[in-house]
Amino acid sequence: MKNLRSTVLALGITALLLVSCAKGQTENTATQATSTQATDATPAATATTTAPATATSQASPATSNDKIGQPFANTVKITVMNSKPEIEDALEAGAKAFGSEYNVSIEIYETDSPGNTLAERYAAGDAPTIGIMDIANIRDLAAEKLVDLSDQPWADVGGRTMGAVRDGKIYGMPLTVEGMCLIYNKTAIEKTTGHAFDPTKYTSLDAFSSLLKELQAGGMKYPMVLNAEDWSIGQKGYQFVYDYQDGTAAGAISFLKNVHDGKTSFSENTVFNKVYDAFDLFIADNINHEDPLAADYDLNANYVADGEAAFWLNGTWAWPDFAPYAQEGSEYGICAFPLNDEPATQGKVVAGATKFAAVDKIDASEDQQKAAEMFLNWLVFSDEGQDTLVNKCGIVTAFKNIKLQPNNPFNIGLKHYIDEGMVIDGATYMPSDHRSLLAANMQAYMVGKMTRADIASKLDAYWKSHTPTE
Amino acid sequence: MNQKMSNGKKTFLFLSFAGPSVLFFILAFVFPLIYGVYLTFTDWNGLSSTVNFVGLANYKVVLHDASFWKSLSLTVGYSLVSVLTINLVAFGLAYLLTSGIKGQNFLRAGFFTPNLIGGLILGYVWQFIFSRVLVPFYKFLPVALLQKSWLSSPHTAMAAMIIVTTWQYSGYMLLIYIAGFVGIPSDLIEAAKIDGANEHRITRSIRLPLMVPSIVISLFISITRTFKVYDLNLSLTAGGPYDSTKLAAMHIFTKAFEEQKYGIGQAEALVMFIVMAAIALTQTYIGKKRELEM
Amino acid sequence: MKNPYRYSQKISTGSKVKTILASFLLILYLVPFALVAINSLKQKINIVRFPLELVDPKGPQWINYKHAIEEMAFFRSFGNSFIITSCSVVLLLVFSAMAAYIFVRASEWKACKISFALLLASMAVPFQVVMIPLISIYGGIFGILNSKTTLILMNFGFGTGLCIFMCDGFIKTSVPIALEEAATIDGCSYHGIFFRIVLPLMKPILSTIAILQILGFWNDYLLPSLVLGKKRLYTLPLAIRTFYGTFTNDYGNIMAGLMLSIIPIIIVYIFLQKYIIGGVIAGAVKS
Repeated sequence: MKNLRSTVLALGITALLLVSCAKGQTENTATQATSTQATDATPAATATTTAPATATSQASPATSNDKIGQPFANTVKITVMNSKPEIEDALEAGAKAFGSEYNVSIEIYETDSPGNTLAERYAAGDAPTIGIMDIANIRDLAAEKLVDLSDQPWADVGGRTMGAVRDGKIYGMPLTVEGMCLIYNKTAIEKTTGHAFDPTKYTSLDAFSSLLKELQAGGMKYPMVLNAEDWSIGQKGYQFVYDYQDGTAAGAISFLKNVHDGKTSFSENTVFNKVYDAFDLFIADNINHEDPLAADYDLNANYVADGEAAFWLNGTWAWPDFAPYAQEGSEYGICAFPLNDEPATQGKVVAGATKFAAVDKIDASEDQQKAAEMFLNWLVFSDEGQDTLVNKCGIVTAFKNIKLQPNNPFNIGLKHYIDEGMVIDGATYMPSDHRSLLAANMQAYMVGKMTRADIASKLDAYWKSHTPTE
Repeated sequence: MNQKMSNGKKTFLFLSFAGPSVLFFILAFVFPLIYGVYLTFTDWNGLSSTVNFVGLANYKVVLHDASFWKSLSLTVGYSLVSVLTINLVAFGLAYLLTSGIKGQNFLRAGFFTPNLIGGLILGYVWQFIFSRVLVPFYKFLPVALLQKSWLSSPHTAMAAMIIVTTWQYSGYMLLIYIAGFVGIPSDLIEAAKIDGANEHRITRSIRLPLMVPSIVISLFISITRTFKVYDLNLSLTAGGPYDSTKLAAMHIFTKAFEEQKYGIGQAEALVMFIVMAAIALTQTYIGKKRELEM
Repeated sequence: MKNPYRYSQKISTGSKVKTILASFLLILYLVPFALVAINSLKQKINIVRFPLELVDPKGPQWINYKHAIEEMAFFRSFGNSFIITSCSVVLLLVFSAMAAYIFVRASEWKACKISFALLLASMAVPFQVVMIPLISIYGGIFGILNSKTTLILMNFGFGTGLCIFMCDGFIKTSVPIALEEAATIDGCSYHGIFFRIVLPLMKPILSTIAILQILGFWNDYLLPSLVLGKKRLYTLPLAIRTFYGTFTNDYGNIMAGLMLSIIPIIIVYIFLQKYIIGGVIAGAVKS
């Protein structure tokens, strides 16, 4: 009997809950009621009186406001899909600051697979107003779903050269510039070899290899660190082959087209062989040599950070994950992938914009699109926006008008290479099945289950049936 | 139910008892499924607003997609082994935990804890165990099995998948078997005892036959669950090393969303469903027949 | 009402062996769980370096829990999870039991045969097949996503197959038809019979289903992630996802968040345990 009573009670409570949550919880992402006056029709005089006073300590609001626009009369709600989780908190803070000034409410959500999330959100009719995505996603959406951003003020300060361009129109604002490179622990190298370390002296594989021997003689038995993940050793690994062809995207694309047409093949390509000579050396001296595929990304960061190893094949994006392990008083930096006798590319670092901000035109209302464009301009042209990008998100920016200097060793290194003109194009032309069809082969190569000839023939077969997407 | 019922009365009874379930099942499942089947005949890439009808073209591609068939056969193997281990362990434990041993309530709760952790995190925790916790034991116990992480060679990585699956689902099936054991009328067992039957005999002639429905349910659930495994696959092995543990669901996910071949991915999912349904329904049919024979 | 074995007075050696065996197995089962518990109080750097150390060198890191509670908006997410889970489970239990009853007792009707076969087959369909179509229909066309109610009803639609299947087996073996026949003679309606006689007898299977489903909904990630696009609607698993990075994860916060979401479930489980052991049919007939 008691049981029955409690069951009835439980049922009653849940029925109540049901009723309470059925009360019109449904909210469409209905477009905001557009403000009665179109923004551009607002007389300037009234606009300045209603605009909240901007903080006077900052650059004259007039100049930034020209580029950004006027605050909205009614709050506009927009959403941002962020596929770079490590900048989430900084971006949230920036969005709050922008929102309170311009009367825009921004909701940011994270994803680690932008392709899936975009497919889901577009299917649901709830696409993010701003999507922070990869070049491949921009290609998939481009003209059909994204706003043409060619006329945005940021296009003239570096956006055009670094942005995601299709058919001559800019669809994605370059958000971050990243480098693929070797990460090194300067302090540990100098302590082990007993002399100063200048990475520009070790850009050839011969010199680099003698440095590794020196390190080993000094007691660092395995100075290299390689990741096991397929995106790292595979997807990014192949890119060294493409990027170092002649340092330009055009050169890489023409090589791949020649493979496609059967005019050449990977195994007879000198750069391919030079890159794999370097890989072989790295694999032999890998700190995870006993079990290369069980490597752990965090432990890898830790090995280099505390000087157990000297070099990590990775990229500047690793800083947020590296930072917790960094030692007080140790110096870290980045240097180029070592190759012999390649005067055009030797000693240069692969650099390119890796994440792009695009604005949706399918589910977003005019006001929402406007608000999204304003937020992007705010990031580039307002002091607070620049501070958000460079200092808080800790990224290297593509925009020439931003004078702030990067604030972590990897980015400082990258900026230095960019300023010196010592960078080459990063690959952006791989078809979307490049990773799933090829990347795992490099894991097999690492453990000796595949030979260099096998890798070359897999690459040949792939590019025979695919062409670079431009 | 009474045969001499009017059709109106039958309809009323059916709708009032089964109506809500059937209605929401159709809304949530049947309509989207029909739409999904339609998409397999198109070239939709998952994003674009252009959808062209391409007939059976996607199915032709599926037939020639060697990596899909490889992942499907891996899945069949993984699923069969896992189903066996899950159910043997769960049945044995359920028998132990209903035989009136001390602290059995506490034990039941304990065995169930694996299910408190969702699939993705579970995978990360176990990845940790296989690559970081087991390897140091090699120092004390130098057997080849501990020398390397289980996740870095194909056979042991698959074994790891099976172990974790068993660990996870045996706690789940355990509950179903416990409900089955508890549901056996105690007067039957009492009567058998009075007739002088021993434990072994009671188990064989009374418990096992009455447990058939529970076994059918558990087998069905474990077949369908293991066949569809995705989360665990992603976080434990990520399909590695070098794609040797990439199971069907993961292959399909990659195909549909990463490679932007939505129609093909969807068609492969349907093929996977047909294979799985064939296995699961055969199993259930045989089981149901056994039930009737009892 | 009681399992006769629970009160057998003689603790034989056989039973001791069983207890030891079961306890040993239990320890094996709990290792991963224990790892989560101890690591939830450590800094990420120490989780990565020394996963087996019991205590962080700097003492227990309660800060993980503080972070987890703040960044997950724990109480809001907990509330969402609670409402969604409880409503979904109640809907499922009542309506699935009703449907299973008619499917068993009127199994010769065509409608019952077809529905049951469809429901059974549905369990073998990978969710990925209906995922995009589902949100295209209910988001793209009807625009009713971003709502807890939608998710609850979808949970009901997707879960009912398994529940009916489990109830079906139980009714066949453990609900004696003799009771119902007696009640029919007394002039009870079918609904009356079901709610007064059959439903109480189904307690063991219903509490089993309840536990399984509560856990399923509580830990579910994929469907909620599709339906609940707004942060204020996030359930616990969606909130925990915010600790995942691109290359590596924030393990300290993940483990703390996990512990926070597990504890309520354990409490519910211990509470429901009683019921599973309770309603044995033989006892019900006697009373």
